[in-house]
Amino acid sequence: MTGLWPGLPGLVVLVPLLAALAAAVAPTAQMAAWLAFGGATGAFALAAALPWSPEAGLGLLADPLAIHMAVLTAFVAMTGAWVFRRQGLGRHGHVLSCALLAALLLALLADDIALTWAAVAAAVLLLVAALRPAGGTAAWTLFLAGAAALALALLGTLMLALATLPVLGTGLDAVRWTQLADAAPHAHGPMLTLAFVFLLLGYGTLAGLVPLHGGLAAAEGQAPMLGGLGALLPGVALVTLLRARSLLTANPDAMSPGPALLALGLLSLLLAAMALRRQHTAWRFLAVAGGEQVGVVAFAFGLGTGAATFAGMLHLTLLTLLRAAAVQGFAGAAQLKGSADFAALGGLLARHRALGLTLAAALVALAGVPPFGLFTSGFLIVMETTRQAPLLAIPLGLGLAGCAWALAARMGGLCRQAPTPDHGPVPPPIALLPAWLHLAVALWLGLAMPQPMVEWLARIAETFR
Amino acid sequence: MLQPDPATVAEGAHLLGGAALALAFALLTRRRLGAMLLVVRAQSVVAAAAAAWQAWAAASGVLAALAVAVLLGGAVALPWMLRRQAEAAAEGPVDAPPVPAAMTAAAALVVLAILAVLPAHLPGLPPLRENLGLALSAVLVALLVLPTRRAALPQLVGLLALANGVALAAIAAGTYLAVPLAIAVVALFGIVAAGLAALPGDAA
Repeated sequence: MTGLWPGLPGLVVLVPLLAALAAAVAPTAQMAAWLAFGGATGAFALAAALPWSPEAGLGLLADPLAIHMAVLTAFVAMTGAWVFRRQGLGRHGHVLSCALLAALLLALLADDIALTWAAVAAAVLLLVAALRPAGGTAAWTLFLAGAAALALALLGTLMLALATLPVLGTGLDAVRWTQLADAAPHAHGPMLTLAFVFLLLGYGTLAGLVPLHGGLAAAEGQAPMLGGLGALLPGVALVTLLRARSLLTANPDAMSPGPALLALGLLSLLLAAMALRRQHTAWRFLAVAGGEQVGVVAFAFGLGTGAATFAGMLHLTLLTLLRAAAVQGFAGAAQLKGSADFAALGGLLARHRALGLTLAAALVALAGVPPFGLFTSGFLIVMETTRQAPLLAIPLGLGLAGCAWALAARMGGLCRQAPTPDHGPVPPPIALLPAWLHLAVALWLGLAMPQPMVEWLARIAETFR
Repeated sequence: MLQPDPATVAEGAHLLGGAALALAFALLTRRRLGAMLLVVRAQSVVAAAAAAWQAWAAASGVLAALAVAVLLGGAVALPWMLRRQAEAAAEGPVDAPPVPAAMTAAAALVVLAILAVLPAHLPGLPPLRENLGLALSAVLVALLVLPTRRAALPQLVGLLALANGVALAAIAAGTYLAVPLAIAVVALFGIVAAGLAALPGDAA
C-alpha cells in the first residue's frame, strides 16, 4: 500500500506517540501510567504482527532486522511500563517513556539514514530530559557525550551519501537504506570507508563502545534512565552499525569493517572486565555489565561470518531482555532498601526470597552461565572466534571469564551478606512478573531455541553478514 | 546572472574553509568564555558565508537556506543565549591545557584529517577532497575543545564549533547535498541549543 497510509510499521511508531500525547493530558499520573502501558502494549502487538504484513510507507522499512529489534524493543518497553507503573516515574516520566519508545522504534524502522539519525537524536534528547529532574551532572554528561556522538554520526551519514553519489545521485533515494544496500557494491570505496569510521565513532559511542563510552555509562550509572528504557539505545546504535557494516562488506574497494569492530568490541569487553568489580552501586554495575555485553556483540559483528552475526544478534536479544530484568529487579530492591548501593542491598535472599532469587537469577544469566541463553550465544561466538581468528579467542575468553567472575561475586554478596533494614514497601510478586518472563525467555532460548527463531535469526545473519 | 568561474569558486571555498579551520585553532587558545564566544561566532559567520558562496555559484536553494540557518543559529541565536547564561553565572578564566600542547594536538589531528581524505576523490564529480579535508580538520579540532574544558559552558561552545565543522562538511558536498541531510545539519544546531536546558549548576 502506498500514499499517505503509513502501513503497519508506521502504526507501530504512531501508537506510542499518541499514547505520549494522551498521557500528557491525562487527569492523573496513575492514568498516564496506564496509558504508557497501553501504548507500549499496542506497539508490541503491532510490531509482533509485522512479519505477516511488512508493507511500509512514509519512508519506513520492515526487513527482518528492523522487525526483530522493533518487537524486542516494544516488548521490553511494555514490561518496563508494567513495573514502573507503580514505582513513581510521575507523569513526566510516563510521557517521556512513551515518546522515547516511539523515537527508538522510528530509528529502527526508518528506511532513511537521515531519519534514523534524527530519531536517535530525539531519543538522546528525551533521555537527557528524563535525567534533568534528578539534578546533578548526569543529564549534562549524557548530553555532551550524546551530542558529540550525534555530530560524528551525522558526519558519517553525510559521507555515506557522498560515497553513493556516483550511483544514486542526490535525490531522496540517496539516503534510503534499501537503495544504499543495492548501490554499495558500486559506491566509492575510500569514501565509504571514511563514512564507516565516523559512523562507528558516533553510533559506537551511543552503543557504549570505547573510546568515548564514558558519558553514556556515567549517566546510566547514576539512575536507570526511564525505568531502564535508556538501555535500549545501545541496541538501536548496534543495529545501525550492522547495516553500515554490510554496506562496506559489499564494496570491494572499501576497507574491511571487521578489524575495527573486533578491536573496539574486545577493548570494551576487557575494560568492563577490569572495572566491573570496582562498582559499588547497582546502576553503575549494570551500566558497566551492559557495556561488556555490547562489546561482545560488536566483536561478533566484527567477525562478520553468518554464524557470528547469528550469535551476535542472539546475544543482543538476550542482553536486552536480561538487562531489563536486572533493572526491574534492582528497582524493586532499591525502593525496598532506600538505596541502590550494594552495601544496602545485602542479604536479600534471606529476608525477601522472591526478590533475592530474581536478582540472583538475573545476575547469573547476565554472567553467561548455563542454562541461560547468554551462555549459548557466548559459546557460539567463542567457537566462531576459534575458527576465524584463534588468537583472539584468548582475550575474548579472558574478558568473558573476568566479567562472569565479577557478576558471580556480586551475586554472592547479595545472597550471603547479613540482611539490611528495609525502608520501603516490599515489591509484590506481580511486580516481579515481567522480570521472570524475561528470565523464562532467556532460559527457553538457552535450553531449546525454537526452530522458527533459529530460521528468523539465520535470515537476518544471511542478509547482514 | 553572472556565471562564476569554477576555479574562482573553488578558491573562494578553500579560503573560507581555511578561515573556519584557523578560527577552530583560535578557539583552543582562548581562556575567557567571552573570547571563546567571539571566536565561535566568527566561525559561524564564515561557515554561513561558505554556504552562501556555494549557493551563489550553483544557484542552489538548499545551500542558501543552509547559509541562513547557520547564520541565524550559529552566529546570532546560540551565542546570544550562551552570553546570557555566561552573564548569569560568575565568569572566570576557563580551565584549559597549555596552548603549545593544544596546538600540537590540533596539528596532529589536521594531519590525520588530511591523510583520511586523500583517497576521497569521486571520479566524474567536482573535487570535494580539499573542502572535505578542511571541514574534517575543523571537526576534529573542535572535538579537542570538549575534553580540554572542564566547565559546561565552554564545552557547549566547543559543541557549537563542532556543529560548524559538520555544516562545513555538508557545504563541501555543494549541490550534491540531499535535502534531508541539510535539514539534519540544521537540527544539529537545534541539539546544541537544547544543551542550554541540560546545563548543570556550575556551568561557567
